[in-house]
This record gives sequence, C-alpha cells and structure tokens, in this order.
Amino acid sequence: MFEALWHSLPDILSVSSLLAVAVGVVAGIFLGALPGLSATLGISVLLPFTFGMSPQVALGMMAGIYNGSMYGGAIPAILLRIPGTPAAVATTFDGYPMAQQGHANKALRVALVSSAIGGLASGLALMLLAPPLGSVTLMFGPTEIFWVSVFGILSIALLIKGNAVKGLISAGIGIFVATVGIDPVSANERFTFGSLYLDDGISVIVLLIGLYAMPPVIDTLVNPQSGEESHAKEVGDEGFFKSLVSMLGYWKTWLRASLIGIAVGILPGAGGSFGTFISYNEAKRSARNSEEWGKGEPEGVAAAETCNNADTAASMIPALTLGIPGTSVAAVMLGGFLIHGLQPGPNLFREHPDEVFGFMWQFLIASVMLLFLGGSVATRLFSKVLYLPRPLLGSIILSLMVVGAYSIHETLFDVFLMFGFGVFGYVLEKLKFPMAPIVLGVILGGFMEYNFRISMLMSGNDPAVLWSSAPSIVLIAMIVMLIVLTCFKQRLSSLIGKRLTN
Amino acid sequence: MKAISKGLMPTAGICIALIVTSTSFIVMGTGIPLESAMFPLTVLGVVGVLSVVLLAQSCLQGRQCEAGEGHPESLGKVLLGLLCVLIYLVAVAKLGFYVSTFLMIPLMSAAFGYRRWERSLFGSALFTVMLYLLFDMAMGRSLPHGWLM
Repeated sequence: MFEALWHSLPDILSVSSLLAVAVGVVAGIFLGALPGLSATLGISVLLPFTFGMSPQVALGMMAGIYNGSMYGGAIPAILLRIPGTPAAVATTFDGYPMAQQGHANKALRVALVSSAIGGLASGLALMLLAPPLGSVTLMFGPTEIFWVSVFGILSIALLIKGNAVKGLISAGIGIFVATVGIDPVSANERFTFGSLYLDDGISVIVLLIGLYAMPPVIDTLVNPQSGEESHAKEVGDEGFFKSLVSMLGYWKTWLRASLIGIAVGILPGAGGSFGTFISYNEAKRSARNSEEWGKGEPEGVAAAETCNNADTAASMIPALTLGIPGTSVAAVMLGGFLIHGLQPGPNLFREHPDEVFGFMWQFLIASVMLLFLGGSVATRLFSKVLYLPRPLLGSIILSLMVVGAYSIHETLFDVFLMFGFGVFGYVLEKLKFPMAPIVLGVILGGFMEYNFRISMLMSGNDPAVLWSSAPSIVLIAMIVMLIVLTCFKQRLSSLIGKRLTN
Repeated sequence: MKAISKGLMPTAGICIALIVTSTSFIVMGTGIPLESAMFPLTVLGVVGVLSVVLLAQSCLQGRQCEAGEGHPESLGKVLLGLLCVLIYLVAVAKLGFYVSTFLMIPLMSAAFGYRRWERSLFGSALFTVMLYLLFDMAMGRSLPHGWLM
C-alpha cells in the first residue's frame, strides 16, 4: 500500500498540481479571513471551477483551501476578535489581547507557523493511518459496505452537536434527495416529475452551494457590519526569523495540540472548535504562567491554531477509508471526490490509488506552502480584506454561486434548484438542523441503496445475508453502541439541564 | 426571523411541512415499481415518523425552547434579501449573466446599505470583466446569455 504512496509522487510535483495547491491556499486564507464565510463555503463555491481540471489538480486545490482557510480564520480572530471560522474561537482568547498590545504581527506569525505545523502533523497522520485502514476495508463486500454507509450516516446524524432527531431528519432528507432520478439497478424513474433535468439525479454541488453558501450570503447582506471598528490598526513589525526563534519553545504545545487535533479529527462529528478548546485548556493547565493566559500569551495562540489545522487531514482518514467524514468540511470534500468520479469508501484505495495517495501528498505540500504564502505580506494584504463592505462582498459571492451552479450542466434549472435548496437550507440552519447529515445522506444514500439491493439480489432476497459475516456483525454492534451512546448522552444532558433550572 | 420564532413556533411549522411533504411523496411513489420505490418510500416514512417525534418534543418543551431559536435578523430584511436573489436569477435568465451581474452588484449593495456608487460600479465592472475573460475567453465555457448579452 505504501508503494502506491511513492508511485503517486511524480504527478503531485507537476506544475499544474503545485499551482492548484498554491491557488487553493491563497483562496482559503482569503475565505477564512472573512467572518461568516468558511472552508465549507469556499470549497462548495469553488468546486465547479475544478470541472475542467484533472481529479488530482482539483483535489490539490481543495486541500489548499482547507489548510488555508483554517489559518485564515485566525486573522480576524486576532485583529478584530471575530473568529473567521468556528475553529478560531479559542484563538481570540490570547490573539486579540496581543493585537491590542501592538503585537498583532507576532500573534499572526505564531498562528501561521502553528497552523503549518498542525497541518503537517495531520498530513502525516493521514499518510500513516489511512493506508492500513484502507487495506482492511478492501476486504468488504456489498453487505459490509451497506453497513459502513449506515454507520457513517448515523454517526454524523447522531454525534453532531444538538438534537439527534434533527440530525436524523437531515440525514433522511439527504438520502431521499439521493434517490431522485433514474434508479441505477432497475432503471425506473423516481420523483423526476417527468423532467429530463432530474433524470440524472440532483447534483451534490447544486445542493452544497445552496445549503452552505446561501445562508451566510443572506446573513452578510442582512447584517452589513464591517471590520472598520478594529482597534488593531498597528500590527507591529518583528522580523520573521526573530519571531521564529522565540517560537521554538512552544514545541511541547505544538506536539500536544497536534495529537489532540488528530484524535478529534478522526472522531466523526467532533472536529472543529471542540478540539481547539480541549487543546487550549490542556496547554493552559500545563503552563507555568497559566495566570497570564487570556491576557496575550502567544502560546495560547499556538495551542489553538496547531489544533485547528491538525484536524484537517485527520478528518479525512475515516472519510477516505469508510466514507465517514469527521467534520462538515470533510463532508463537502467528499462531494468534491464524488464529482470527479472518486467514490469515497472502501473501494477508493483499490480503484484510484494514485489520486488518493496524491491527495495525501498535497495535504502535506499545502501545509508547507501555507508557511510561505501566508507570510507577512499576505497576512497584511488579507487583513485588508476585512474592510470590504459586507453588502458588496455578499453580492459578489452570490454571482459566484450562480456561476458554480450553472457550470455543472450549463442549465438554469440547476441555478433555480440551488436557490430552492438555499432557502430550504437557510430555514433549516436557523432552526438548528445540522447540514452535514444532509450532504452525507446525498453522498452515501445512493451508495447505501445500491449495495443493499446488490446484497439482496446476490442472496436471492434472503435478509440473513445482512448479518452473515463477521465484519457485518461488528458493524451492526457498532451501530447499536452508537444509538445507545446517543440515548445516554441525550438523557444525561436533559438531566443536567433540569438540575440547572432547579 | 424574530417574528417567526416568537409567534409561530418554527420547529413545529417545519415538522408539519415535513410530514405533509413526506406523505405527499409517499402517495406519489406508489406509482413507481416496488423494487425501485421500496428504499425511498422507507426513508420518507422514517422522515415522517421522526418529524412527528420532533413535533411532539417541540410541543412538550413548549415555547421556552423555541425562544432559544430566535434570531437578530428582521424577517423583512431576510425576505428582501431572498427576493433580491430571486430577481437577480430571473434577470440572469432574461438579460444574460454579465449584464445582470454588472447591475446587481451595485443595486444590491445599495439596497443593503452600501451607497458609494462610484466604488461599487467600478468593482462590479472589474469583477464582471474578469469573469468574462476567465469563462468566455480563457475556458471557453459560456455563462447564460440573454436579450442584451
């Protein structure tokens, strides 16, 4: 399996691949720096621009966006105390006080170096852990793949923050959307209303753009506050190497935060801000000067930023091997794989080894590029982005959404469908329905149905085939444990809630 | 959204909408051969049942819970935003993408409070030309054309 890793390297070092990663990193920093926008929005809006590219080049761009946006989120967190991404919330604790004291430049450099280190650690984890897991999943047949899909969808629906019933409803909506179009097994039309546009089903990109881009665009237009109230006009000007030397003492924090980020990234539904809080608290707990934390301690920025980049590639480990994304960004990344003909899951390593191993290299390269492309010039440049008027920005993103939805099949039907999903997504988001299960439902729903029906056809419609192998029994046991765990968690939180109200 | 969340119990509303929609699709799906219909109809049934459960949860927890779902945006502004988006999409279909986008960016920015016309017109022209050069000229992928362009 590791031979394939080396085999894929020459393609990755081509100019087009390196350029795509670089463009992705820059675009990611830009999007991450804009409060309210995120890697999820960035990847979903920019995905259609990759249609003409080879899968490897497109994947490189996505890896770049993911890494860049995680660091980009630190820029408004430090300069304005507005986290660009949810994962940058903990960065504000010490980053903003540093900026207030005139050390914004140092805080941004700590964030940059820490983000690059977290990304490198995460990329290495992806390289080391995904191939062995991929080897195990190669033994899976249609029945096991069906159970893996069920487990993947349920884990995201149940473990994601909030009401589990809402998560399950979201997943159900996604699975239903995946069934629209011509049935792949018996070629019957399903819920197409006689429209030829729906025969091929609903494009996951149309859904992604609508669900993930429309709500922040509406919020950007409706809440036109800008970053002009920043107090951090002076960013300071310490030399890069001088600040790098002073950072070497953070190695323990970098190591601890990387391990926490990787562990949290692998767990479905746990990624993002959750990990950075754990990392920040652990670093603070073990610090000698813990009373200084929260008042402008650079190590606090290092703890948060290392962790939020360390969960990027790690969240792709279960996503690539089992089709279960650790975070919503990973769910969108799976959509990107799908539109380039790469079905995430057990067969990915068997059918597309060059692309999947190349993607792992690209994650590492993106982390190294982040260090160079996110340097002081870029940081100063992107900090200016914060001053863009919000209505102007919202209008520009809206036109990019139209371009994205139209580019898929060059039909306006998809544009109006995107609008429909956008309105639906806006309502669901305001009512705290999670979006990731919908996306995962669309990605894995068709796959789940296909493998279920193939299993039944192969066994002559004998349902016993579903629990006839050891891996199937293990997966069913994991699903039962997941449900029991969720019930326990919900019961516990309701008891705590009652106790607090009394 | 404030009006929706405080007055009409939005979660209950969406539950009812989901129950009605899933039931309608189930009725529609009865015309599809059983082997193809079984899976989507089962999923719709589960969505319907879960919506009933959520509706019951929402009613039991009452308005205390609903108050937590309030949002600072005014419903009028949100509806205006959605209406502007819809008008823009219709304009794209009728006038063409480039003309509509050039007009939409300054007009929508002005509608939501940014009224520095010279800047927004310049930004809009620059952005539209960049898209034209990228898509029509460099990539050879035409964006929607209409009456004007």
